[in-house]
Amino acid sequence: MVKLTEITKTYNIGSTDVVALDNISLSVKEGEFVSIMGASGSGKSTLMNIIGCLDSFNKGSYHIDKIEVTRLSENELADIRNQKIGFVFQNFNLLSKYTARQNVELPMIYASLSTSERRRRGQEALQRVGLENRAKHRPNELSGGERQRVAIARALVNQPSILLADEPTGNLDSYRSKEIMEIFTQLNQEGATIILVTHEPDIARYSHRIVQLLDGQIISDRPVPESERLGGSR
Amino acid sequence: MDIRESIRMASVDIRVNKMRTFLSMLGVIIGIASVIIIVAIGNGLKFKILDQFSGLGANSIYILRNWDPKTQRSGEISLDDLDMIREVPGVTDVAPQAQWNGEVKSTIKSIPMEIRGVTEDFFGITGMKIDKGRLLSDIDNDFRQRVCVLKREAALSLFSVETGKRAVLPDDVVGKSININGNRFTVIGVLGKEEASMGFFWSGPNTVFIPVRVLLRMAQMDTLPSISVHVQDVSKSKKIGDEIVAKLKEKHENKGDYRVLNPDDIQKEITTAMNIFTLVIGAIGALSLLVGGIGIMNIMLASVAERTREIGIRKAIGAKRRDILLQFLVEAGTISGLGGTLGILLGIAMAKSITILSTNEIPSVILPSSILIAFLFSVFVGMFFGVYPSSKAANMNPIEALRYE
Ligand SMILES: Nc1ncnc2c1ncn2[C@@H]1O[C@H](COP(=O)(O)OP(=O)(O)OP(=O)(O)O)[C@@H](O)[C@H]1O
Ligand SMILES: [Mg+2]
Repeated sequence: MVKLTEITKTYNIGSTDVVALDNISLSVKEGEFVSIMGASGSGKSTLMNIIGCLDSFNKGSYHIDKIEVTRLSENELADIRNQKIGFVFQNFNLLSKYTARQNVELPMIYASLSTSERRRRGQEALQRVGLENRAKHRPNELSGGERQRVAIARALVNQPSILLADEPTGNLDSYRSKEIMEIFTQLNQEGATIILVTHEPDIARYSHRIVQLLDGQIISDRPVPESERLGGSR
Repeated sequence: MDIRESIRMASVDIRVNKMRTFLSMLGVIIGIASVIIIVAIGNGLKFKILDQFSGLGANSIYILRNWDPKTQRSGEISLDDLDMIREVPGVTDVAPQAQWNGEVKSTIKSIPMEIRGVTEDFFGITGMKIDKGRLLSDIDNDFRQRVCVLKREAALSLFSVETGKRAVLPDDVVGKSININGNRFTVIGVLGKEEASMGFFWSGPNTVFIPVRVLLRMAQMDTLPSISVHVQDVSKSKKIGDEIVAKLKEKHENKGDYRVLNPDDIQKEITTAMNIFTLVIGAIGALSLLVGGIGIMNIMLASVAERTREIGIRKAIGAKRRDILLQFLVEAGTISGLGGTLGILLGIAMAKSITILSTNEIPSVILPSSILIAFLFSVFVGMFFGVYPSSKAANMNPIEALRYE
């Protein structure tokens, strides 16, 4: 599903090179629910942005659904972002001038879906995050948790192959965080593949596998024993 | 993504940012308004002049005496030539005109007036209508009757008695006597109010018409200065004019030259001249739109910078380069099209006000085609000046745009 092979990413700042990712190889299969953890500056966001086809890398190769991303044109990358990836950001990244429904419909506009199809799927996505009665609210009329739920609805509305979430609960209190994680768990149980970045071990316990980064390298990659898992019916 | 979505997106942004939108429109509003005013007044003047011409009777041509440098004389036109000209194929009427200036006296006033010697045909050719009494007839001419027909204004200035504000013609005008350059004439008719001012040829409102034979004798003229010829088919007027001139030259043994005045030609010349005038001035006005376009570019550039993060979000969820390009281009086009629409409304209002304030002296005509062209041009200006800011937006790198604070 997602396969990174020996990915290296360096940032040039003036004359110094910062190695953000150092020879990373990682595979995530369909239906997996993976957490990426690590200290600040360890390269988690950089990794997510590469998986999300938002950023480029210096070395290595990256396949999503067997498609070699390195070879793609800018337009093809836009299609991948639109069709195969749903990205949830820490700071929500909703368009403040649009209502919740308009925000959720935006990826479908870029997918050139018909108005009625957009309406139907948008409504459905809002229902899945429990916000069907907030469709006409703008982001500034929603709580932080609700905003993140709108962002999740937007991320899953085009039925992507993979959901990426970079610290989705970073700006939320623990109660809202739990709500968000329950939604992810639910989505995963319905078959969604999820990769999530978090600092908090309690959030990581919702996932089934934890990847630890340190200075741009994977230092551990282990499953979460069923007994320790949170969320859902368990 | 299709264009309707772009328009929808643009309308959201325009509504969210009304003040910025208005400011960026200002240049276009003023530019379009000034072009509309200029073109409206240019067209108004053109139609006004053409209108005066149509009052002359579009089917008439004029034969005038013209100086011949070879013989050192102008061609003569005698009253006897009229019958010959009437014989020319295509000619329906011929009317001589002789003009004289003189002093006209009634019992109460003495006024300098234009005295015109005419025949019965003249009134038909020019379309002048009688209001009181009767027109001059051929019998008046044949018997050299000292009778006259007055233009309404002339009659008013000679006979009117002031009652309150408005001058009123006494009922017994017809039959009164007046004195023209020392000769007694009887008023037999007064013309009706003129529709279009026929100022071009029958200029003075203070005009009195008398039989042409009477005038020629009184003024001791031996030739007519000009004749007007009514033709059946305007398109043949040039040929007929040439034929008449040829006949006149032959009859008068080439002693002098003649000139043909064809209203159709003059009308064309006026139209062309006015069109060029409108075009040139309009183009200068359109230049001011350049300023409007630069204004839009400026504010679009600021807007693109301000919305970097939005662009990043859109790209992150799958917007392509051309989607972003289209969005901002449509926004620029919509803003300037809106400005153009406001400019058109403002221009129409101002052109109409100018016309009203000038009491119709400066007419204005707004053609649907000017409105359409102005609108399309304003949209084009916005799109054109929106290309640079829009491509700047479209070329943003998604991750850098997302990181933008
Ligand atoms: N745009 C950039 N330019 C230069 N260096 C960068 C840039 N983005 C990240 N880095 C560097 O790359 C390294 C990895 O950054 P990254 O954002 O991936 O860390 P992170 O694990 O997400 O940290 P955090 O938990 O604080 O979000 C850091 O050392 C950071 O300073
Ligand atoms: Mg990070």
